[in-house]
Amino acid sequence: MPLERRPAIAVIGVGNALRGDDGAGPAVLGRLRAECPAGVELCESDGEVTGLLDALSGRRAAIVVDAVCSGAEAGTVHCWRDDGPALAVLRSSTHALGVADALALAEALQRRPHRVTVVAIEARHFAPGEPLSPPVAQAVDPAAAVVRRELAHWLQEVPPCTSSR
Amino acid sequence: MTRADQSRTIKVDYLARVEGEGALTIRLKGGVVEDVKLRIFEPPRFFEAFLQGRSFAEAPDITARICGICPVAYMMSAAHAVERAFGVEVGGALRELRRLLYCGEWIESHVLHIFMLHAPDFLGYDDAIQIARDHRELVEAALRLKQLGNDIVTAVGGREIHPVNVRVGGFYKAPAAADLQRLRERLVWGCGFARQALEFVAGLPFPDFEQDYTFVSLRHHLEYPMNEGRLASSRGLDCDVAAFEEHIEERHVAYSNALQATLRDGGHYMVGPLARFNLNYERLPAGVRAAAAAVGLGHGCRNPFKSIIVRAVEVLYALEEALRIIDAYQAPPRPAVPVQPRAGEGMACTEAPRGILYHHYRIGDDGLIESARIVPPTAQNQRAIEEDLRRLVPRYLRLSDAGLSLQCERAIRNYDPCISCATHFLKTTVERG
Repeated sequence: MPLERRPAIAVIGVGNALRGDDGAGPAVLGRLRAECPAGVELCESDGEVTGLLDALSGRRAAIVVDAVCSGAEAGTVHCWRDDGPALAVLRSSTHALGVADALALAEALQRRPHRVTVVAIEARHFAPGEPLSPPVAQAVDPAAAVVRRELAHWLQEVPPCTSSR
Repeated sequence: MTRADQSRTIKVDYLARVEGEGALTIRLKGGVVEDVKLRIFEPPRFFEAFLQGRSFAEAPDITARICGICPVAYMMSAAHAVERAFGVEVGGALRELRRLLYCGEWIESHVLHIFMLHAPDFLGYDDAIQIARDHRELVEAALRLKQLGNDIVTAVGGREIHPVNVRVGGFYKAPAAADLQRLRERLVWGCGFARQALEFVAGLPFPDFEQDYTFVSLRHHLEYPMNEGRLASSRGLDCDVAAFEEHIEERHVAYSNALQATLRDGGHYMVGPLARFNLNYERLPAGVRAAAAAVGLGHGCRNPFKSIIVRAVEVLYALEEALRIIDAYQAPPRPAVPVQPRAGEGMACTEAPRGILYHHYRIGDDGLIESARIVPPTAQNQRAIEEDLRRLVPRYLRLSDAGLSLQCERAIRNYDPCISCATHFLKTTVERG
């Protein structure tokens, strides 16, 4: 879809549903599918930087939903608006480029949405083939509720389908 | 500033902008480098043991998981090695499709390294984000080019990371010609941008650091090597890849979780773009050689810092090669040649973006793998990296430990090391004693 015709808001679920708690982002996206408001696009991302950058581009606002390890109790739902501590926590590798780099690159390339919220679920287990661990599974609905509240707030300010970027 | 005649130890605890976890320790005494150790502490990954008792058919998919940057290389080396064990030959359009898949991987891996990991070193930036701010159009185009590499891998392999369409004997499904033709317009654009990128990287400032390397790569009598060829060196080695272990040995050193490879008769050696370029220069199309010559890169380049230029040359080549393959492609009558398991051994090398990747399998008559051996490119380059550092460090003794560490990290990134592969890196320590 051409950038100028994209929904103005994206919810980007980052993660791998086949890697235990790394599936938190896709799981939250799954909850939102049944009742996605007009003007909002739900995007899945495996965290690869060019794909993430593409999902962020042409939006006025974006919510990134991801699993994080910040040291909090497993299942804790974080909501970080704009920069906050999100970038540091999301930088998880000395080599691969991920969510933090995609947001920073989007900023440098003038492709970053005006508003970015990161909704993150504190994760613990990432074993291949495992489902979400119980505390993370229990946090999916509360995280989806945080996303919905954020969207409701934005949709009052950002009329759907009027992307002007 | 520390005086050059004092002893000091410089440690880099975590090497950034390399694949995996590793560290570097340099011990200096009286301005002389006493010891250089590239310590790969990424845990051993035991892939060779995982493969024992598994079906031959699983080797490409299991070994692909060794690396998220070069899974195609693992799939190709595994498939070729098993095919050699079974006496299977894959030719025609299927061979061309494998080459196209490899073009995609070279493009995505090289473009990521050139612009995101390596170029910041030459421009005095901490990371690629700063390049993006100052060279926005260049980075936008580089990201488009990387995406094109990903999309080639998706078109042939079914998925951009860890493709799912590769099997021993060929593919599960051959793409339709029309699906590949959809990439054509972007490939034509890519060839144009790759020439601009080549000019950009050739204009970076390079230290004068020519070294007398032994280069090792595949060499093919007709083409720039990717999937096939003989094992060749710049000092006269020329043998079938089945003789790899006769000429190259791996040793365990206590400070590293990656085995170090050396030539049995000649010590350390270099694999990767510089080796491929120098051993296969004549196999590059005249237009690509001319583009390299136009930016001052000719046959015989021995400066590892200029590997960034060679990578850009290989990106241009991979794009032109992908165009050639797509324009000539007609879907094959079947997506794979029949494979009949039999007891045997098979060895193969293919050219991963970082250099030759060797696989050796012994397979039983039930088709189960009895033993596996994998020698990745970074394991082969470890000694060459250490030797570069031994020669480079004396030039920078006047620098602070932080400044010296930075120069060492730069030298390591010349090799685009993939430590995740090699353990099957980086923390730098400089000891000035």
